[in-house]
Amino acid sequence: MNQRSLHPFAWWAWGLGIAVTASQTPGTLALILLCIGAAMVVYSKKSDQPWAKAFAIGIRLGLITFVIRMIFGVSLSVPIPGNTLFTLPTIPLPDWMAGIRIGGPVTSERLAITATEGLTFFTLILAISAASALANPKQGLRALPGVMHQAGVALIISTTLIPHFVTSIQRVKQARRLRGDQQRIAFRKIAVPIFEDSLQRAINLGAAMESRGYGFNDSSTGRRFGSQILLSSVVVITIGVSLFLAAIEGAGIAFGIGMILLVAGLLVANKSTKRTRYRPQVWKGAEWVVVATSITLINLVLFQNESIFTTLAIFILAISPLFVAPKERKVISEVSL
Amino acid sequence: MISFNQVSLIYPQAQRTIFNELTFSVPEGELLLIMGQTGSGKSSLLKLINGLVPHHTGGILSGEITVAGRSTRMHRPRELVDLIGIVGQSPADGFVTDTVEEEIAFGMESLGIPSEVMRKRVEETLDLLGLAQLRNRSLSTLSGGEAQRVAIAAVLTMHPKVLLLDEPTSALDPIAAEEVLSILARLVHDLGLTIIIAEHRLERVLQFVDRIIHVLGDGQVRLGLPEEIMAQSSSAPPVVLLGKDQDWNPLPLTIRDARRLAQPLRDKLANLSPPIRKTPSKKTVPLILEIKKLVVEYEKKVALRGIDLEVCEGEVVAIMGRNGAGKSSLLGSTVGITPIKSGQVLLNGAPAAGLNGKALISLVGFVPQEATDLLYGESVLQECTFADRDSQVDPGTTYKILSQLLPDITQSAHPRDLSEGQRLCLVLAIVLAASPKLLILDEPTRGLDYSAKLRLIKILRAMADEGRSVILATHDVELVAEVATRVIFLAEGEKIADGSTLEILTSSPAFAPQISKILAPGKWLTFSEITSALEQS
Amino acid sequence: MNKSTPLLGFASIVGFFAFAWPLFISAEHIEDNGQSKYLFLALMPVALLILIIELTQGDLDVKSLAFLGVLTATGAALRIFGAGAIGVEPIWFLIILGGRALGKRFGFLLGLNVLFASALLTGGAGPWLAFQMMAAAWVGWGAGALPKIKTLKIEITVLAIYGFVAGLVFGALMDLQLWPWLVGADTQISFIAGAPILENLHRYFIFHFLTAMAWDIPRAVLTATLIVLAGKPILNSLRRSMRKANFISVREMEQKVVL
Repeated sequence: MNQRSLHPFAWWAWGLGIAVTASQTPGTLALILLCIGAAMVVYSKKSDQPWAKAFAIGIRLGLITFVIRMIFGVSLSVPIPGNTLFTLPTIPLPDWMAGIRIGGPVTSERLAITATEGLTFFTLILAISAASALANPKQGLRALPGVMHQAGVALIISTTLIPHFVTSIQRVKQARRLRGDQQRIAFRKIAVPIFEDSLQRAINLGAAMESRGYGFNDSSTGRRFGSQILLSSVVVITIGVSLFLAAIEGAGIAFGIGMILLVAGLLVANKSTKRTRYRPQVWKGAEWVVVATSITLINLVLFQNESIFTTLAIFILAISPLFVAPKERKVISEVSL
Repeated sequence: MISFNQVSLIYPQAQRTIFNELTFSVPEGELLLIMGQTGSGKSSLLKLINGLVPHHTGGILSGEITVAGRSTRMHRPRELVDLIGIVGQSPADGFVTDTVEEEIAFGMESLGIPSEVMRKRVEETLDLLGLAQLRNRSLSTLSGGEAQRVAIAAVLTMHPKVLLLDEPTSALDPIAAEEVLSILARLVHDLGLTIIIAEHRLERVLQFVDRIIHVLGDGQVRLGLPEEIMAQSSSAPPVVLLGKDQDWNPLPLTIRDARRLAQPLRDKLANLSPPIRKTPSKKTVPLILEIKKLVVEYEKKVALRGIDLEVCEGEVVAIMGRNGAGKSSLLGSTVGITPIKSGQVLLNGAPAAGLNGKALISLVGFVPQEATDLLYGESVLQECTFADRDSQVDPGTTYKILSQLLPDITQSAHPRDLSEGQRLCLVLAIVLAASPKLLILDEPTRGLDYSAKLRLIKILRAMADEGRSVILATHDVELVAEVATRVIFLAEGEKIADGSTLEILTSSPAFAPQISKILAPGKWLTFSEITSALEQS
Repeated sequence: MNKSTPLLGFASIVGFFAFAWPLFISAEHIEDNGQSKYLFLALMPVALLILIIELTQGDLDVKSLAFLGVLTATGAALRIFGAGAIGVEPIWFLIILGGRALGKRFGFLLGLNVLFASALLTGGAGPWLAFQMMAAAWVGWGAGALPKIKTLKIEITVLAIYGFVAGLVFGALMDLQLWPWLVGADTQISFIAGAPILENLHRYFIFHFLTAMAWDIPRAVLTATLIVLAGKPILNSLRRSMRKANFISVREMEQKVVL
């Protein structure tokens, strides 16, 4: 049965909202609440599709980076005055690393600052992982605007074919074992048949797509104009980058103009493709609510002072999808052996 | 509808002319068959019609091909989509999306057809091809026949007037093949489509087609009614061979036609019996394979429920049954790759799962369904050298075996450029280099044309004569009729029949070979049996 | 010189700075509260977006698209398969060989797609994904940009060396991206805004040595080894398929002799 799931773009808006909020240093408590909120939403709304594992992986990765951050921050710190909590033994280092001293006194201020920075990065990772775990990438690829349709199709083909190749690899491994190959099977004996198989597929696929009309409506005139706008966009952004690095005034303006040109270029290029979508993913009230809460979240953290009310509001906004997003549907895939 | 005018085709890489000044036309609403040996140009002829040749796959073309007035020279295949639809040899290779419904809609998305129209067409097509209950299924879980129907559906949504299919039934079991062919016939008779199929499983297709084009391979073709073409063709299904031999007039193409003419023959054969197939007796000949109460389970399903099987040296055993009956699981446990829940599988007395390396390959030679899984060289000679090394035998052994199987093989040919039949022989040679006592083949006749099948039959008979055992998992009834001494039927994981080929095949109406259907209630399996029996009398 | 080249060039410049900004940033940014980090984190996806839109519009014909999709799937499947058995990714050899056989633009797209597709399905997407994609794209592009070599054996050797170097460079780039995030701005091995490039590089190398360099060498060695083991037959297959599939551009096709 087709049960609705939240549009992948809405999930990404939510994830980005959390990421941006975390980046504005809203306070340690807020960061922790953001993480907890993200986890709550993920575990409540995730499906059993392969990409749902992204969150668990994100937690692991996030913890690793947190620990590394703490280790570096504590053992290699630039000394600042403060309350010394404990002192690490000093380890001498080889000459070419001159000037670096591992160890020394660890202050509570140092710990606090490092922990906060580490926590911020951790939250950022978690936010992205949460969005990856919840947003259906295949639906997302199909929902891409016409201008990115081709990129999407290549990826759709890939994601559809990956399980096939994983099975092929297993099948070839089995065939090799039946030929008497023991233990470590040679790379070439597996890679070559797989590659030949994939190349034959690619040839057949190309012919099939051509025969089914793929590329029927592609016109090149609107595209050329769109390309020029995109080129100017990227040139302006490059200027913005140089200005920023050199700390010269005007970087912000350059970036702003660059983004406007980018959007303009997208719109122009989009007009030149004429593709329709079968049963497009719907964008209903729930999606609007999620996007709205995400925007509110960002505004809150940009313009409000840190206070207990702000923190609470952040938490509630972060977990809002719990209340509005539909539950993920289970995909039916009965296997006929 | 379709007309060819002085069409000649050459591929730049090849030396020969594929077609030389071809001129013919196909009227609307015809079901046309293209037949010919592998490599003769059937696929090319098909692809000429929708323009894939030369626009997509290259080739130098002269002459004019028009479909409903539109020239394929002026238009790329994608522009002819509303007129011509093509389904290639491996339809699953052409799938782009995840589910049946999305796949059917994909082509329309590229054309910018509005959403409501797409919805309507998808629903119509699902009904037309009987796919409605499969609409949400993941494409990777479809059977061969279902995938074939989905590919046809995906093309029909564009409402083409011509449908081209390249070997639609060669990978399908007989029942799925029937389904697909009846759908095609219905499309022709009810919707007025013009359908052209390239096929070499003639026995399945002959009764449905209006005319045949025989691609002769020297640039020429012969076009005519099925009776005419079959009368002149050397490769033909058993019913036609029998008809020609017995001088039946008109030449029968179907079982029914043949039965009406077969009474005199049945009378002649009434007191004769077919030559007995040498079946080694279990009491005198050692067992090569012993299976006792084998149970195989996967997470959700029981694949085999308590199978018992004994095979002795020199037997040729065919394992038949529907897809999903458990054939692959049985084969897999025989060689130790499928984990066993309970029961015993003994190869030459030792448990199969424990065998490895040289011990394994000198006992069992396994030819997988995808024979190309075993090929990793860049030339035939290199494959043989690799095989010698892998099998730990003297250099040159594999090549010697191969030259016996295929006397005119080119050493430098790339393995992937060989025809299906040649590749099968290559893989057989590779597997036989280690002199295994048991040869196992999983669906060997997929994609083989008649001459390659004959070659395989000869090889398998020679194996049995040498005292090797052969186990075949196959749908191909004619192959089984020719070569097997024993037939085993599996259904839902259980063995429901086990006996001599003659008994089993003649007692099952669905799985009987053509000859036995024609001569029932007499018990005969193959054309050669009849000829030798008549000669001896 | 293709008409997309200026855009590719500028976008790559932006991409380069997104990686290497700590080396070039001026001293006025010392007290900016980490805003530069976020700016460049966001800038990379923007550069990628522009690149992807430009590269996949119209110029990518159906055959290349099919090859791109299929090879990406093969690469991602190898990554899934290799992760258990080998521990380091075997995808680099595929990106390099694919880029070599089908050209620099294809190699660029292949790099982007392989990283993206495998991240999608293994759940390994993080804020650094855009950076991985860009770096992989450069690796693919570079393989196609290497000069034409007539002898296959020499070509494989060159590609193996390239693969070794690419493995090291990829690791170095990704570490460079992570550098400000993992050590902040106030440790002894952090970057100092405004300091001379060499000094920052020195600090970076200490950081790199202490963290991920241990992974770089196995990756580089594995890539080179795989290229040596299977490069020749696979490169030949790729080129054979291109011939079989008649891989010439639409423009050339229109001029092809149709008698």
